[in-house]
Amino acid sequence: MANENKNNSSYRVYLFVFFSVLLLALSAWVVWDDEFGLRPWKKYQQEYKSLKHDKLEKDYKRAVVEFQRAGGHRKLADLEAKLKKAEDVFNSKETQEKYARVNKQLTDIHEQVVQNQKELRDLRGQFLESEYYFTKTQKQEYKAKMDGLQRKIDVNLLRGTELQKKEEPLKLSLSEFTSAKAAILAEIENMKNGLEEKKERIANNDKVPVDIKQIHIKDVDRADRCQSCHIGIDGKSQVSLKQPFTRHPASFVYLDHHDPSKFGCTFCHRGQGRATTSAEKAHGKVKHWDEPMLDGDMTQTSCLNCHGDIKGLRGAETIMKSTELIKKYGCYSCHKIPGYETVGDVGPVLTEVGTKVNYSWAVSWLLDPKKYFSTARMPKFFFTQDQAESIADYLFSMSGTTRHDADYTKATPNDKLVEQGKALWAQARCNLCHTTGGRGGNHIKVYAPDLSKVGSKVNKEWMFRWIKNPNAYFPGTKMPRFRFTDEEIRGLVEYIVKEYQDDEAEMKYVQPVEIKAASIKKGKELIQQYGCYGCHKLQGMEEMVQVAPSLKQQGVTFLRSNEMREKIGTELSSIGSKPVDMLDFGKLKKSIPNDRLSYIKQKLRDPRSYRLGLRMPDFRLAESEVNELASVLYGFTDANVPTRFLVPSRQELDRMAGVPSYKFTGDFAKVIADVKCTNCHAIRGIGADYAPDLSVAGSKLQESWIRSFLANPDVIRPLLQQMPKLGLSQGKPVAKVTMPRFNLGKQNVEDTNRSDVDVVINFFQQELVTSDIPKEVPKITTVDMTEQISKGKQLYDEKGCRACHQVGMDGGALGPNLSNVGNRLNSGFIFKHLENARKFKPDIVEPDYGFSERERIYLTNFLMTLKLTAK
Amino acid sequence: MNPFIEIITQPDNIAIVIMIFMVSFFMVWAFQQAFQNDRLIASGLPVEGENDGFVDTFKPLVRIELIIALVVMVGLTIWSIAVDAPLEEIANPTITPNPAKAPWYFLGLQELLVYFDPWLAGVVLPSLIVVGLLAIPYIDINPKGNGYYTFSERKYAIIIFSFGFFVLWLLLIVIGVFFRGPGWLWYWPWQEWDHARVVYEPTKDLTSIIGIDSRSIPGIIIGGIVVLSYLVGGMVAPYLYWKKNNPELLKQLGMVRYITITFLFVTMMAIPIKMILRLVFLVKYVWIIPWFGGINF
Repeated sequence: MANENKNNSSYRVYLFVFFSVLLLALSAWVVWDDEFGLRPWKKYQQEYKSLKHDKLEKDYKRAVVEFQRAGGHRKLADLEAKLKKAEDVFNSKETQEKYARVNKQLTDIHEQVVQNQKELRDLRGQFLESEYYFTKTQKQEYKAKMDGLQRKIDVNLLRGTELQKKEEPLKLSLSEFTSAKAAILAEIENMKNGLEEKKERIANNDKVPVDIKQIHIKDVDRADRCQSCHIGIDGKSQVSLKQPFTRHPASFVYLDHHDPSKFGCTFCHRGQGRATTSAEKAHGKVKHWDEPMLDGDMTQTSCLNCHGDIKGLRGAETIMKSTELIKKYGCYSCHKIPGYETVGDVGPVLTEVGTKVNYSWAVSWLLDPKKYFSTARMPKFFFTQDQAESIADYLFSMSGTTRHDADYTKATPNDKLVEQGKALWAQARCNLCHTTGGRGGNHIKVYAPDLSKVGSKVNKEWMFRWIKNPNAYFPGTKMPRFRFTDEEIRGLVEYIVKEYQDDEAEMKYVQPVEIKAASIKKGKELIQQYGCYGCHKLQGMEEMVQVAPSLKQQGVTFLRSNEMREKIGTELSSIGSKPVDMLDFGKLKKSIPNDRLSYIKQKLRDPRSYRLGLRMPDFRLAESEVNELASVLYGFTDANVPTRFLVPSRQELDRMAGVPSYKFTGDFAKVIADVKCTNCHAIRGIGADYAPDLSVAGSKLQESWIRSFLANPDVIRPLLQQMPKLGLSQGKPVAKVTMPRFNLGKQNVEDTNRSDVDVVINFFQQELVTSDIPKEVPKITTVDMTEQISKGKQLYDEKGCRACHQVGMDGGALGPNLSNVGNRLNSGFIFKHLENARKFKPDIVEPDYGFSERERIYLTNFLMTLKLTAK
Repeated sequence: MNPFIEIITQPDNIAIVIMIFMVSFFMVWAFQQAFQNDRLIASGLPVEGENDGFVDTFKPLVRIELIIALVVMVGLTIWSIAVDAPLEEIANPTITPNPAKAPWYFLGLQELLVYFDPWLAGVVLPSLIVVGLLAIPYIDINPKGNGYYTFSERKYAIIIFSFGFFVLWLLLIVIGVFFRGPGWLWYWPWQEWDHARVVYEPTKDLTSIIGIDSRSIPGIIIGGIVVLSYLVGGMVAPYLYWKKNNPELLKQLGMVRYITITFLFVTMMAIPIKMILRLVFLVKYVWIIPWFGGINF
């Protein structure tokens, strides 16, 4: 028994020893894990330090080699020899004796100076004391004492200046002994300096401690530790191209304007800035972290957090392009999106669509808009034939009682009219906005419909009324009113209807068929359900539209404003930070990643895929569009942004300051509402950037030139416009895009007897002027005018202006043609433009030559002589 | 992944998986020993072994405890290095996690909330558990079973304790961890947790089932009679039984002990009874006392 007990206990001893050793080993593991396992950034920082060390050392060695190659070491040896010589001279007995003598004199005087200063301090103290007693007691004895002291002080000061006078030359002569040596030393120092600095940088780098680098943004209590690994991200030069040591790409755009020490990293890049234990965690690419890191162009989505207006913002080009898609597809029509509250409807007014289009077309369009033309913006709602017909019935019943089609395929056209129309079509440059079967449509942002099948879509009567006055049918349309005569319009209509027929169109209702009340009611419900009025104006017309008595009796009514919900879709103002739990993945929960970006992308790709009964239509976006839109939506967050980061848009600033936004007034407003200048030109912040900004056109352009240009627009900057792809005359590509001719001057402005050209000119000269630009170039009276002009010409030749500008047949085509500039521009504008071209057009390519005022006057005077004589 | 595997492999639930195995192992082992000893007792042999049932504390016991302490420390150290604390997303005051589960050791009590009002499930019953455990040394008058395992000599004590511990405490924890999903609905291991799942299971009060409004006076009276008669009946019935069959036992116990034991026992048994009423017969409350802001049974 006892034996067994003993065995038993020795077995326990082994166990005890085994576990003790194990625990000891574990303790070592704990220490290692805590020091290194959980702090991977240490390794990175050490690696970075050694990389930087290598780089600096290489730098240093290269500098040393260069120093030697440039004969630095020889020069240094020479200097040192000189120094030796100078020292020998200085140390010679003779010099030393002289030096000691002078030095002795100087020391003596210096002692006197010191003594004198002591005395002065003493006197001043006594003086202040007496002054105090005198002001306190007003006794004369103190006054007398003060006067006496003042006299002594004056004497002392006098002595001080004398001593100083004696001291100065002695100091100088003393320094003469050492000056030769000092000069050589300074030269040596100077030669070594660059090298020493480089050496010091190596030492400094080695001294940098390895620790957590944290940026704390106090107002929102956000801590970013990204730089613990990305240690070289804001470095001045690239230490290594290896991650995570690279510099921030394009840091002159991003970091220069967003100092990392104030902004941190995660404001733009998201991710889990506090995590330091692994790259996956820090990048937020782990479960339960809803803000994975953004990289590449996707990061631009964060610009939307602070910048109210990203138009023209450097570094935000991708996101800006993407935001255009929101306008293009009119997402804001159904969804509430901040910043898009005032953007107009994307679709045309449909109140009287029954007078415009064929019923068969309307139904096929509702079924599948892309079938009509592939670039259609209207999405597919997956209506059945019945549903599409019901909606079409509702729309047609607002202006009539029948389903009807107008078929022109069998009509014989008037060839003469067609010929005229064809010429006008080219002349008016319809193709600038409207595509026809893939041709034209250079100005993409107006989204003019494709006209290649329009002959089977609309009827002639409507088209005539439309071209005559587009605003009458669709107030606020982008289509301008060309001042055509009725005869011209008739020709244009005949040409369009003949030329652009859809061969596949099926016309079922050439014989009109009565619309049934039940179908209208169903259509009304569908319109309400799918919110068609989000994009198309339908409301407010209930009183104006006549419902046929028979339909009225059957209870047909139209939607009233209060029956239309404002936004039928989900609010998107903070979709980019919506908790993932609140996103309904429905039946796709298992098949796609459960994160916000994947959700948004899937929704855009296939809007009704999450579950049955969803209403969002399918826009059939290209994958690139899906990505772009998703990146914008991802940027709509309710991120906690400190107010000091916010950069409100121009409009917001104006609103805050109480500045009313710019509005056109008077007769010019009428012209603009008619001709839609702002489709292409921007004027005082209103309008597009397709054509030149006209905000200061009155100061810039001469009246006579404006008149002739409006009458017959010509090309000014051949290359600066977008590369053209339109064939204005039947397939032959035309290399120049220019302004359409609106036939201004042929008519008076509505309700007035003023010519519209006069109104435009008047507005340019009254409103579109700036006091920054003088009317005339300043005059130089001392130099003869012809000499000024020849000097200007000399400058024009010297600076190589002809490389970009064309005069006559000579010169480049990058800048505007200057052959007629003397007739086109005001001299004051040229003068100012030569001073600082970027003031008027920030992204202009014109170089800055730094002309003097005189040179600018000469050049201006020369340019003003460039005139083409009218033919 | 299989939902069940996903749940049991969550870092949160490792402790419970370990618990299941440990408890099963020790339970089986203890009962094996107990039955072995019972056979010895039945054949009249001593069960205490060669040392008269006594072992020195110093050396034999301390040594074992030291080794076990080392083993536990080794295990905990490895566990805490290898498995990170299972954090979830950043707390958001506007979002309630679903299901919202208590720490695992309280999940049994949370499960009781399905069957009882919070004041009962969260205050009275836990207090009684503590009081009852404290009372055991004072109400246990059986001198046998000290220092050795036995079942036959302490039948009632072991059965009642095992029921309370294994079923009412541990089983409820296991249910709370593995079988309760979003909305605190019941999910079998092979079922997918579904936040949108709807279960229509209308519960009624006991008297409403027989057509009397439980909040009316007759309903309250009937409910009160049922609850009180269970309590009184449950405490009186054993008295009558033992008086007839085992008056000696009653005498040994005395009135105070008897009342304490029967009260604790009746209260404990109320839990499975109410669970069955709720799960099988969809009874919400037996007795409603509407005047005190919801003291309901």
